[in-house]
Amino acid sequence: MTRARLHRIPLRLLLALTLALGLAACGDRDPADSADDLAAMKAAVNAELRDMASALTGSGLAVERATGRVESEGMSTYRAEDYRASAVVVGEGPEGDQVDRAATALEEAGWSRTSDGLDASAPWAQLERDDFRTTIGWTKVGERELVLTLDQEGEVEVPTDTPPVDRDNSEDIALN
Amino acid sequence: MTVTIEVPASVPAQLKKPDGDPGGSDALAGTLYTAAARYEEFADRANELQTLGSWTGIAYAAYKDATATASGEHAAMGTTVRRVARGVTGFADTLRDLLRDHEDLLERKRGLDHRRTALIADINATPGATPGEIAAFRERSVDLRADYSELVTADDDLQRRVRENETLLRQVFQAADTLSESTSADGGIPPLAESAMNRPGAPGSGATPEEVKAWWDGLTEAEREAVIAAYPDRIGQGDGLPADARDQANRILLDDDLSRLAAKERDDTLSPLERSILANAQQARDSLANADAYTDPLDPGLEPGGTLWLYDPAAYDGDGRVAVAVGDLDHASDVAIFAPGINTDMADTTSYTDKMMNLYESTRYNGDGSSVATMYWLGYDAPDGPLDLATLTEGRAEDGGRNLSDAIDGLRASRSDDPAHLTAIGHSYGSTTTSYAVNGNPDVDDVALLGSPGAGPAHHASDLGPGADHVYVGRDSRDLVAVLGDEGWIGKGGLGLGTDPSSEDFDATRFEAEDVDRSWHRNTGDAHSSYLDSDTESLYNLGLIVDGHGDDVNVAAQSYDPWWGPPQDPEWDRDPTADQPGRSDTTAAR
Repeated sequence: MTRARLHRIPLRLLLALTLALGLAACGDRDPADSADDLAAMKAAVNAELRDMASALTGSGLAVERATGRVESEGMSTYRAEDYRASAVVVGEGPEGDQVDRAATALEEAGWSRTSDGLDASAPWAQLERDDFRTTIGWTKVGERELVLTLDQEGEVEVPTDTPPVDRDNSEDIALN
Repeated sequence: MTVTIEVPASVPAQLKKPDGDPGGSDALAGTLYTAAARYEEFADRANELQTLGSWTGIAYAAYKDATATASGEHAAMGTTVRRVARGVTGFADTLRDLLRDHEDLLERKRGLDHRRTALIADINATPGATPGEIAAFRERSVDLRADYSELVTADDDLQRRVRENETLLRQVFQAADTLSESTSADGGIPPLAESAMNRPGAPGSGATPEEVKAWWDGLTEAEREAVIAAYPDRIGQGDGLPADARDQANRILLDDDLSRLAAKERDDTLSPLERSILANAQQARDSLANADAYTDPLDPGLEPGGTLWLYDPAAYDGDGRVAVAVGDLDHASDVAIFAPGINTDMADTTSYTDKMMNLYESTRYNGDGSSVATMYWLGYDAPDGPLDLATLTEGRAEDGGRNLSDAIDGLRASRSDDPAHLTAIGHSYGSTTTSYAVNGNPDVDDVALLGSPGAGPAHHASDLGPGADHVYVGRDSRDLVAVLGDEGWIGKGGLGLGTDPSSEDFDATRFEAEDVDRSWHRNTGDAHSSYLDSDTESLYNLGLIVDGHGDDVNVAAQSYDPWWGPPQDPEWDRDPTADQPGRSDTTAAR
């Protein structure tokens, strides 16, 4: 080891301390707490989706086939799970008009459009309300459908030895 | 005038189904693995009982000799039984392939017979056929005859492979059916495999990946099956061999570990290392099951399959070495190899395999339609965590870089006639490892460094093999690890592991990689760990790079270190995106 490298060791110990403090701040969570937080997130997202469905139905659009799915996130030093919901929106007219009509209906329900001015290759809108974000767009794969997805800010930290969730874990969400 | 049109016969009259039941063979292999575990347990116990405290004298010496002999013989017999079991596993795997091929032949014959019936019906329905119609009937007949002929050849080939598979199984048993054979060093190894393995260029002999490839190309199909079953440890790590051969060999080793160590677990005779090996094997099994079941996001009828490219669960005191791929490494147009960072061992294999599916999906969803394979590669001893002193130095990255470079050379050599577009991706400490692997090594087409604490030996993007235009960097502005690399004329006093690759000094292409849920402060949590999460800017851009369209990434301004103050990151104040088409939309499913 060179002299220069030896001189770096104390600094690198500082790095270790910094990283350790960073990790300690995160901590490894109790699985039960994670499960409780995920259940709360599911309930909040599903309730928000029902609220959105009501707003869209009033504008002449229909919301069908709502589902929710848990996704595994993170790697290495941090692992988490996130819950997202999606629903098929059915309406009439050109694709761009349907997206705009859905976004307008949500704006009237208190959502703020955040996608104005952003480039996109297809009709698309994104809105936020409180700590929720929704994306409205047309599917590119399979049957062409207008779909809105709903995500709550943040994710639920889980213990780092948690196995990934089954990728096909979708569950239907009752809209009524 | 009578016109004769010769309609070919339906041949072969019968497509003989290969005899045997793969499930039954697997069960037999399981029984043999369990028997091997019993031999091992006896050998271990006899070894433990050699020392009996204060005993001395002639009788005790004789006792020690006897227990030593018993231990050694039972250990050797256990090894031989394992080899026989692996041979049976190999037989079952091949039989499964043969049965699948037989089904394909049956389907082909049904199609040909249908065409033949239709031709006869058309001829009978056209009594006054014109010369043009007659010529068309004859052309159909000629085509049909050629296709039947090909079917006969394919059936002959299938029956030959069936015979070779059965011969190989017989040889495996014959090589272990006497006491002297069962206690010998090569008990259970069929002569066909032994002679093939003794030829120049065999893996594990010091041969280069190119020589290993030439050796493999020179083997017959039967010899290939024989060496896979008899030498799975050498074939499974043979750089230069087709991924499919490595996969078959490693799955045999996996079956061995799962069955044998499960038997020892039931008997409560597992050593601590064996317990780690069993847990690692279970991770590999679950990861492979997930990868095998994965469905292409654009084509519901396509299952690209999983590959166990590297399997060494005992390595590094039980941390293990492993590589699992999603997709066909032997034929995919675009191949990515991903090296993880600190805190990673084989216990994380299912999690990282899941990330490889995310990367596969992003590449396909936003790609040009080319086929894709993404591989998680843990072929080095990653530091255990931030408090591991190895994290503070580049030693593990340098060693790991050599291993990764060998892996890349092996991938390249195995497809010398059909090179893939190859991307090396490294995260965290793995990015330093990746830098070592590709420093001056032109064998990869593109490189992506994520959340990097430093680029190790490379001070500028042009130092890396593919050239500065093909080096990409993803760095979340809140990522605490990624701000540690040196930048500017003062640097950071050697805190990190080399030059910050996201900096102006390094001059790589930095792409957008901000997490939409980022915190207000730097951290080692989600800011350092979300680069492969779905619907993120980072995964979107990585998909483009893996697809060979790195020119299309959404470029982020490089960080810089002005003389008048601390390092600056222009991405700090930009609003991140998620799920935005053309920027952070990576999932086909909605």
